[in-house]
Amino acid sequence: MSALPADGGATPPTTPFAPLVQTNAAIGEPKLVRWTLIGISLVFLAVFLLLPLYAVFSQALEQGYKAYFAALVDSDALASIRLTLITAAIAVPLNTVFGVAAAWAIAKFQFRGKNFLITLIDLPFSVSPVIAGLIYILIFGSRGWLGPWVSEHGFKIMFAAPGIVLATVFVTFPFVARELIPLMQAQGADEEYAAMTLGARGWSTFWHVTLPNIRWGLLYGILLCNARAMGEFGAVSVVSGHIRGQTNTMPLQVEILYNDYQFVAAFAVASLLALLAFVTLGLKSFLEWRHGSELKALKGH
Amino acid sequence: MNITIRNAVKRFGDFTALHGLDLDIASGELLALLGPSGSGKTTLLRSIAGLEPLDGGQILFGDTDATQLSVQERRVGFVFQHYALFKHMTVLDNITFGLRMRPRKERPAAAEIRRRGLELLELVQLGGLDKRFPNQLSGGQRQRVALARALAIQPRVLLLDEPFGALDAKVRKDLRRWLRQLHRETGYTTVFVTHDQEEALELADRIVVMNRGHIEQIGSTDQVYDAPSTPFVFDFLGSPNVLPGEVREDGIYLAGAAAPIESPNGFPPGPVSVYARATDFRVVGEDAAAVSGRVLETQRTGVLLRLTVQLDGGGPVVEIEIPQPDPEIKVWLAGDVIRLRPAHFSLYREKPPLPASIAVDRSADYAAPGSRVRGQ
Repeated sequence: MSALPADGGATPPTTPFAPLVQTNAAIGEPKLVRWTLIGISLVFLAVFLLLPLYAVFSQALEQGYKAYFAALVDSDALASIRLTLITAAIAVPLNTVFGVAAAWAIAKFQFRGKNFLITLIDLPFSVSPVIAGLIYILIFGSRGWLGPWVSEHGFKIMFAAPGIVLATVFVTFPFVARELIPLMQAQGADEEYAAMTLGARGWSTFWHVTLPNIRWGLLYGILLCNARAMGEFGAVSVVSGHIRGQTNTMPLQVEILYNDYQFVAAFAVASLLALLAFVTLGLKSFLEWRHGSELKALKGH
Repeated sequence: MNITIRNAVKRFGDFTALHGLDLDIASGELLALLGPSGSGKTTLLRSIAGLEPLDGGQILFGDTDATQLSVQERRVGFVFQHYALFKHMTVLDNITFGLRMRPRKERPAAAEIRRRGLELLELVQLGGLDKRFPNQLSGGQRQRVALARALAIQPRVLLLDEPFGALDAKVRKDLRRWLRQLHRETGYTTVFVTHDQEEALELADRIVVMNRGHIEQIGSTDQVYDAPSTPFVFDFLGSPNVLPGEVREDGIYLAGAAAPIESPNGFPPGPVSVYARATDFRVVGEDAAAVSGRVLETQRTGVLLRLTVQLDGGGPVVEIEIPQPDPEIKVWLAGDVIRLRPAHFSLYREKPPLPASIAVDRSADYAAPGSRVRGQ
């Protein structure tokens, strides 16, 4: 800090050139503080994100590529991958349809109980996944409300694929709706009204006007929904029953293998989930970079 | 297509937006719905389009009851304030949207659709921009694309919701003139909503002045401007000066004046309010019908001289505008005493409030002369 010149600041500043890095003295911090803060962040990032990621891949590849791929083509591992894909293939489309419908209703119409509906959509976010799983045990378990009726008719829901799908649907259903509601609210309904006055029916309006307007937000929501559907552990763990080769999804398979001290196999499966995370993150960044302006309404995520 | 609106009622919860309106729109006319925000003008427009279903009453397109038709079946061209263009479509695709959405049987061939789209693009003077996207156009260009898109379906009626509200003053003026010309060429029955009195006066054949879900006055631009039927209309079409006055047997007196400014014209005796615009005053010499006052402030605005005058005897402060006189003859300064006389004015007298009723003609609340009184 230099004191003001005696003549009240009439002399021009002495710096002939603007500094290369513009720093605002009013909000800037001393160098020491800045580097300390940056250092802490970097160390934190390394310890809590990069190190575990490194650990996953180094453990998976500890005994070479052969062991790694052998672990992946193990029949139980393949079954878990298949179950995970099937679960996601059912849960994600269901929640996409539900999410679009809910967001459409909330953003484009005025009705009683709208806020209540929004709260309900958020429910899976606020409920522990374990409780989400238990809900289904209470409903479809052998002593649940519908359990006896279901088993009488020869269906198996709990400790089978249908239960896993149900739990996954529950846990992941806010993702698409949550992405679309602010987007559609920001866009308003004028374009839909315009399409209607031009003679377009409901379905045409949705297909030609609404969907193109929300496509990137929708893709973004589907991406997040899919990542969670494949990675969900808690709720699925409660309803799965952990039958090897039948009701284990990939996260459950990782846990089982780990508990069996099969570290290479456990981390090999885990590395697939980590790769999924990379792909999701990459696509997400791409969408934000390419279609950032259309996703602006999503700020806050 | 002439449009008849009978007893239109629209409520939003406890708020009544339209209190039973009656309105006849002649085929081919250019009509303005003018009013402040919340007056129900946009609601009325959207009701004609079918975007807001009415809670009561009827809207007829010719002899067809439009209230029985869906938005799609009404075939109205609607232009939104913020254009509502389809962002992901080219200009040409926007314009041809209505044609492409027709059921297969009624849809023209693709080449024909394209030809009509390009033709409309020429009509709105945007030839050559067919491959652009809306975000590559200026505001005025977007609004013209929106208009072309609405015209493409050969609408029964063209409805424009604050069409120039989002544009800057210069573009707005050009577009107004252009729209007036387009209306002359195409002859579509056109209704537009505005809160800008200047826009309504410049563009419309007839003006409907609305206030709180009622129609205050319907008339040609001259009628509405020269003979406002209620103080509200007078107020909305230019800030009035309100002077106290009295109607006696022998004429209309301004408060404090010794002679009448006009014969009563059949107006019943009693106190009245005299409404006059700033430009309606004349500075006079010795005139027994005039009122005197003291100049508080003068301001030159181009060709006009604006005077703020405190009328004598505790009268109101009035703002008047007079053509700038020859500076060698007379310049008024603050503190000067001048005598004023309104050359044109309207008289209003507040009647005791009527018992509450939904569908009242608000102009009946005021006893106003049939036409604006003209002085010498």
